[in-house]
Amino acid sequence: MENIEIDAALKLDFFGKEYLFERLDPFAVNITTATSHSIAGLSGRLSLEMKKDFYDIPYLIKFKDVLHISQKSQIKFFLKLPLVTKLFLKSNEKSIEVDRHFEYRRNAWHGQVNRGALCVYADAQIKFDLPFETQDALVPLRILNRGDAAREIKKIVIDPHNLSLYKGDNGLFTNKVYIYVLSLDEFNVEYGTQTTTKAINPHHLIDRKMSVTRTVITRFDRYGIARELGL
Amino acid sequence: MIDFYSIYAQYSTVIKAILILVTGLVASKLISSVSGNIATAKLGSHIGGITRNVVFYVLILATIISVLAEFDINLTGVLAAAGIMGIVIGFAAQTSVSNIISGFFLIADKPFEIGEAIEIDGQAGYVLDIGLLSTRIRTFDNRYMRIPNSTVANTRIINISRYEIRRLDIPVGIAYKENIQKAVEKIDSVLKSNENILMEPEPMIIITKFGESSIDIEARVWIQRSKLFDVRSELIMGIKAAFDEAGIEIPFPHRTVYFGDDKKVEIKGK
Repeated sequence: MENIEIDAALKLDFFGKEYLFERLDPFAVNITTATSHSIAGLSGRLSLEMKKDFYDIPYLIKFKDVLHISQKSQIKFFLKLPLVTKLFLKSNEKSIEVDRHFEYRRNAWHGQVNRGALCVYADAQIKFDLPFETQDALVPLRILNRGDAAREIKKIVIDPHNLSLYKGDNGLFTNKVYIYVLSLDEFNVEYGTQTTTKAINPHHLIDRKMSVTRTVITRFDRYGIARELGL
Repeated sequence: MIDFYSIYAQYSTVIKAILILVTGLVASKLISSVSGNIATAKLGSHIGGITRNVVFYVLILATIISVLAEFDINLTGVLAAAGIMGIVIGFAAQTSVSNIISGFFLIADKPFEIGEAIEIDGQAGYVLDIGLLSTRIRTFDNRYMRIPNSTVANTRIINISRYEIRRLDIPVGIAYKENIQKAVEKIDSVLKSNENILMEPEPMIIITKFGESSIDIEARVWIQRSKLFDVRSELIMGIKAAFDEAGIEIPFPHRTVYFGDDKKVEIKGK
């Protein structure tokens, strides 16, 4: 967090974009970049703040290698989850969002082409033991196969409204996510209320937006097109 | 002292008629309002409004007939005249009646709704209103278009905005001498670099046919509907640039005209 003094200017590099903030008077700030110029009306003690947030739309995460899970077994790992970085100009009581940075800009469609949801697309990056360092969040993910046959999973969909974000000394973490493989290419997702024990001194940054945990059952047909079975 | 009985005896017909009229008016208003609300809740505001009006006027007509009957007015002549008038009006208003019935079908069938973008009769635009007689559209180039409902009902309609995503097909041809695999790889790299193309459903590149002057290839990608024009332009520019860079020829039609065995003239052009 950096303060902007009256009659002073502050330069900031926001993911390669140079910002210049100049306090014109007690009530106005001049915001200039290489391509744009605007004036923000805010009074009081002003500061700049960057915040991490989830994307507004669900995540469709595709595994590079198919995950095979044998019968009555489970697999658990940390999955990298892309976050949005927002830049805020803040006064004591109010704030204005100046910019937001999306590391992942690709989208994918989840569901049938005539009925589904737009998702942010990411290739899965996973690690099985200790959490790895990243600017994004890590999802403590557990995939369970309670059936009597081996199953495979190629992609999953995670709803950001069911996720909480925790900041630990060793990075950002979400609450635990459980995927139950029901049958061939059919699974449901449950969202836990706590984060992993591997997070050191975690504290809440974002509470989940859904007050009640939702179960999402997803089935992929033989063409790889997903069908929502219930929300 | 006022003799109410004699007044009633003298003016009973008038009093009954007034009572029927008032009761009929109130009942018409009430019943039409309730039925309109029910229809609105179940079938939408359009059908609700129409139901309200139809019920109201039918009940008003019944009330008027009842009032006239109180005065012993012989309705046979009136009804006969009304029947003849109905036939005359029916013939005269054949088109309007056809439009009204088509309007009901449009509202019930819901091929489009107010605010959606449709393509109809070679014109595309946003639906402003679906009336009893006509459908009104604001074309994309901002012109006001009124189409009679009977025409709408009998015309092929494409609803452009019903689904959020759509497939965009970009056909391109390469010369017969070119390496198809190389061309496909170039197109693939253009598709992969375009952030507006959805990763799922996955983009597809297919070799469609041996064309007259080229091997025809088609890139099929899924995009958000709102990005159609941007992506189309970006892909055409990108594929052209990638082919130019790789020296892949996009041929134009060739036609060779022979004059006898030896003499020939080659005409090149689009």
